[in-house]
Amino acid sequence: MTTNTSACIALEWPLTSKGRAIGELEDIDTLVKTYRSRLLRFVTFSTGDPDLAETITQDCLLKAYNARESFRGDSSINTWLTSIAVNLIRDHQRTQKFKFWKQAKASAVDVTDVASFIASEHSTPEAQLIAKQQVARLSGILDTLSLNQRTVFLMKFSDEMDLADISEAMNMPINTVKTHLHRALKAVRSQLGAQS
Amino acid sequence: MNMKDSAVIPHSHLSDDELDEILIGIATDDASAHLAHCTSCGQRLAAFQSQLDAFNHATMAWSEARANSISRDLLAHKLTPRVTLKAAWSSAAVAVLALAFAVGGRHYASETAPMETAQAPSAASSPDDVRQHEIDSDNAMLAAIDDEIVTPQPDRFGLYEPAKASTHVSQSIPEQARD
Repeated sequence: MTTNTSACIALEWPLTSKGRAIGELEDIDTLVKTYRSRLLRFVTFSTGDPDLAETITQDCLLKAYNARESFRGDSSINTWLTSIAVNLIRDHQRTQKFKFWKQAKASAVDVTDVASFIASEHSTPEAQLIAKQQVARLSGILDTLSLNQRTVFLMKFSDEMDLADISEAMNMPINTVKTHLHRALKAVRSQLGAQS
Repeated sequence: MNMKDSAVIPHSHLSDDELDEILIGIATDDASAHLAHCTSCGQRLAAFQSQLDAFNHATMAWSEARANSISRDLLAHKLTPRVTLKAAWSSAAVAVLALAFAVGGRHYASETAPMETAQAPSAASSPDDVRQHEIDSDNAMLAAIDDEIVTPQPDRFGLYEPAKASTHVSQSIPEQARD
């Protein structure tokens, strides 16, 4: 009896968690409200194209909503959505590779615009200016990374996903994720050092 | 320099690779212990973290602003069932084939029963009258189709022969109907 009770208690959290996740997926408004901004940022800085990112983000949310029955709850919704977004980005690259890069050039992220959204916590004008320069620099450096390096970098340091989740979302072994992260960090640090 | 060196030599600082491992979250205990007591390494790490934080804050604020500016109706519009281009073309093709079959069948019927057509009664509201009207209408449509087809169209090699085309046209209608 005691064993059964403890088993039920042990199962309670995952079941509740999964139930909450499925509840989120059932309501398209909640899904959009909760995940759209984060997904849009991820896709924008992965592809380097804000217009394309909007399309992919919409498609990603729509795909997730339509396939909500297939969500098993093994991972978080965030990881699941990110993996859908990664696949959409890859599909886009595969099918329209040339157009993709052409578009990426035509509709690149305006780093000055992004940097203007720097938090007001940087009280002095000098601190704000430095922060803006940092944002612009890092954004520019991310453009120089390979797609895989950039994607895992954003997952780890912007979305704060752990290695197991990144591995699942990218559909690649953890050691490969680590390698991409090492290379990305090395490139980012060396370029930041060279520019400063 | 590897982690072992930095742990053994008290004054040596963490290498770049070790700092990366700390950032990635796979640092060894020795590296973590060194970081806890080394101001210099802590500052290096904090400097990098602050750049990441600035980037994350700005990009998230930018993304939220951009997401809010996108019309909310867009997603709702996408959720409604839509006829895709492929489906539209399929439907159009089926409709054309159905029309071709119908026209071909009626044309065949009118050719095989000419007397029946000619001997239609004159009562305006009788079923035969209605049938005659339909036949006339079909004939008019066939004539219009004939006119359209007879219009010279160069073939794919640009070698157009009017005489050949016109003879081909008169025989082409039943073939199209069979397609």
